[in-house]
Amino acid sequence: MANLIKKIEMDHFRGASRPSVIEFDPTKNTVVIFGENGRGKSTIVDAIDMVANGMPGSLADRPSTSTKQHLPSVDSNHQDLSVKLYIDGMEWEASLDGSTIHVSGDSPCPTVHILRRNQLLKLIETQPAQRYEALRRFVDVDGVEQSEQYLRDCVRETDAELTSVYRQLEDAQNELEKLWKDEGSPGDSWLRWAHDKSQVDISETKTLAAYLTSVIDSINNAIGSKDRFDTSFSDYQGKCNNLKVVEEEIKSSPGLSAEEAIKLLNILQQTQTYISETKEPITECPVCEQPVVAEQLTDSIQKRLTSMTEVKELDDRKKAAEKQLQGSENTLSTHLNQLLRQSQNVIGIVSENEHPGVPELVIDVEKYAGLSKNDLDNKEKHKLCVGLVNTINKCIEDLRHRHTELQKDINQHNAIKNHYDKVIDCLKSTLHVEKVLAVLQKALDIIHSKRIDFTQGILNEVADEWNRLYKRIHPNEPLGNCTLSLDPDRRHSLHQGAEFEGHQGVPPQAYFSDSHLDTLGFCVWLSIAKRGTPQDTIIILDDVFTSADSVHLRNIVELLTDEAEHFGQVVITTHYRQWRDRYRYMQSASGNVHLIELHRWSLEKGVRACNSKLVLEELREALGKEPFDRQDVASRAGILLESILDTLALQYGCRTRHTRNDDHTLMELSNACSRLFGRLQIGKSPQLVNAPLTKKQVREAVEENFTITCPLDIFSKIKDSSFVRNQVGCHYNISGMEISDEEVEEFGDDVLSLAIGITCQNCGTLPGRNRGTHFECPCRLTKLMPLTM
Amino acid sequence: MTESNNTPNMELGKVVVETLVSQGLIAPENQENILSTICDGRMTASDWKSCVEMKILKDEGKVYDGKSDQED
Repeated sequence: MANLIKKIEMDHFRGASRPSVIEFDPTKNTVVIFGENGRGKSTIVDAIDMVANGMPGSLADRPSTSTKQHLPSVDSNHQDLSVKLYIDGMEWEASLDGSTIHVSGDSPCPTVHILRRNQLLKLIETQPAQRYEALRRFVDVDGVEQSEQYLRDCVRETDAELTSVYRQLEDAQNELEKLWKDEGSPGDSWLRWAHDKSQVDISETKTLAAYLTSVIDSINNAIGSKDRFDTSFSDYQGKCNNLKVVEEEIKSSPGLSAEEAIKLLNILQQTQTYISETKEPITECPVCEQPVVAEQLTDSIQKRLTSMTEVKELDDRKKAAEKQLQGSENTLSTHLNQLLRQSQNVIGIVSENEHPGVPELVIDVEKYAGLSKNDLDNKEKHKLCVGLVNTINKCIEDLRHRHTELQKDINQHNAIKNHYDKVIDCLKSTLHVEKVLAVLQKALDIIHSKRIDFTQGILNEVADEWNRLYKRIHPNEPLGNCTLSLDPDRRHSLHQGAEFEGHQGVPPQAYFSDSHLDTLGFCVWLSIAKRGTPQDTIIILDDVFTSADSVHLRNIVELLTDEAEHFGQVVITTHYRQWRDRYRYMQSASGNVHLIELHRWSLEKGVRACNSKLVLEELREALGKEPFDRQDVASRAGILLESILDTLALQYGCRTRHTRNDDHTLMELSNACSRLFGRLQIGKSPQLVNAPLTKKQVREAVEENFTITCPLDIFSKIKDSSFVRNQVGCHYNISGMEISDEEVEEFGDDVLSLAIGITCQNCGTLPGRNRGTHFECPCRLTKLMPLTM
Repeated sequence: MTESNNTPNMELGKVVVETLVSQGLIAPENQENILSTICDGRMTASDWKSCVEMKILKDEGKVYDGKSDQED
């Protein structure tokens, strides 16, 4: 068998305050762990959850708890915690580092689904969004859904792009139409007009316009140069006049002639400078070598210089006027050169005129040939330049007008061509984007509908299985027919509906009883768990049912018996003693069930378990025990006999005394079943001698002939000796003391034989399933006939 | 239930991609890449557009060796 938990080792984990080992029988795929409340059932399930799923188990649903503090047992801390899980020769170990669960192992742990009671409520009673979350991993197509959302974004963006292209097209069309109308709406349509216009070659116009631009620029430059020269010349003349005025003032000054006075002034200034710069005071005149006193000479020179202030001012003004004149001469020379160069440039451009179609440009080039010759002086060249500028000044406005007209034509052509090209580009883009948008929209429709269909298909399959399972537990009840559907308007929202007393689509949580809601939640969980690869899946039910009555509990147990074969392993924990006893008394298929019973818990001892035995096995062991315990055998045989007769009486409706608590005596049950045993036949497959059988062997065996036996003789014998149970097994009396051990042993052996004969040795069940003509056991290898009395 | 199993994405992704290919909306040679991209939720808006445009250009004979005429 694959994916069977064989052993769990827990240490300092929740209720496992001491090292605890729970071993599962590897030959049986169903494990029923019975324990009264507080004995460690959830500890075992949480341990499996921690290792298999890396989850803190039931603590995850208790917000007031912390993994670090409460996952370790109460007297330990997180470093002490250890859980090991053994599955099919592999092992995984979980430990706790603070609040973080670490799981180590050979490979990914097999899938383990765990159902707890609070999850039952989530599945049924929660809001649609939370219900979806509970089922998310089975219908979770988030990846595809995200890609669908991106596709939806893409459709929206492409639609916006198309709108933009439409707008650009409309703008370009409007512009063209306006230009067409401005032109007087020539031709049939603006589009044809625009096409024809845009095809016209205007290269000559552009060349002519460019030529005119250069001509006009050169003329403007020449005119500008002449203006600058004229200004410079005026300035030059002003500077000359300034110098003349100063020179006249010097000539007309009184006393020494101006030239002489200025010379003397310079000598005195130089002497003053000489005296002040000598290291030693002079003692004689540097010119005449006559003895002098330096201070006196200095004072004398200063006095003379002071008396020559006016002469000095005249000298300074003259020097300034000369300097300004020199600057003006330089500027004038520069501007003359510029004027000559610009004039030559004009003549050059006009001479190279390749566009005789410019009648506005009337210049006699030969007349100005001297501009580029060296034999003319500047005055003559200036005269030519002035003549040229005056000439071109007359035609500049005409040239500008001509140039403006040409540029207007060019601009008009460019506008038409640009708008026309835009229209054509937009038309092409429109076709392309429309095609892309159509494909994207179609893809979006496909992915959306496929996703809805896919998810709803899964939900429908789940709902069908859900209803099938639910009908097994609640046959012939006017409720069920559950449906699951995604809310089309809300993401991750799952609605459920059910039938109740002929009303369809009602919320089951509004009308169903707690017991029905429990089983409803269980069935939806089980139907979901069966999806995918259940044969590789381990399912665990952690004390799920708390409100099921005995009839529904029987149906649940039978359902699990049948459904267990789909899964790798089924682990059930329960505090229902009745659940355990159904197996112990072979009322449900015990052949493939490993019964485990938990002892009373204490902090000192932790979680402890032992194997529960079938009452049949306990009787067999009691019979073989030495020394022989007569009371034990009589008691166990009597209880086993009672359970068989009680089951048969109920199954066949045997008449017996009606009591409030069904507390029939053994004798009453025996009497009630006497008539039944007179007709009862047991059919067994010959293959049962090799029991337990594989599933394939069981399928083949049911096709073979059955061996029929009648249990009347052994029943009669047991009935006659059934007093042994009361007198030896139950009470103190003298008569009982007279019964020999052999009689007690024989009674026990007979009951054991009847039990073995009437139950299936493969599945360990007393046949109880109505097949129309007979009752049969779950594995169908043992029958009881007839069907009714 | 706590175990995560993401096969529904792949199952649905296959159905979607096969339909898109059969409807001629995407090129068959891109099927494998697109499948994983869609299932992982990484098929962005620009991916969708280039995928569809490539198919249209191919259908119009404007694609050679994965490049459009414009790119050439």
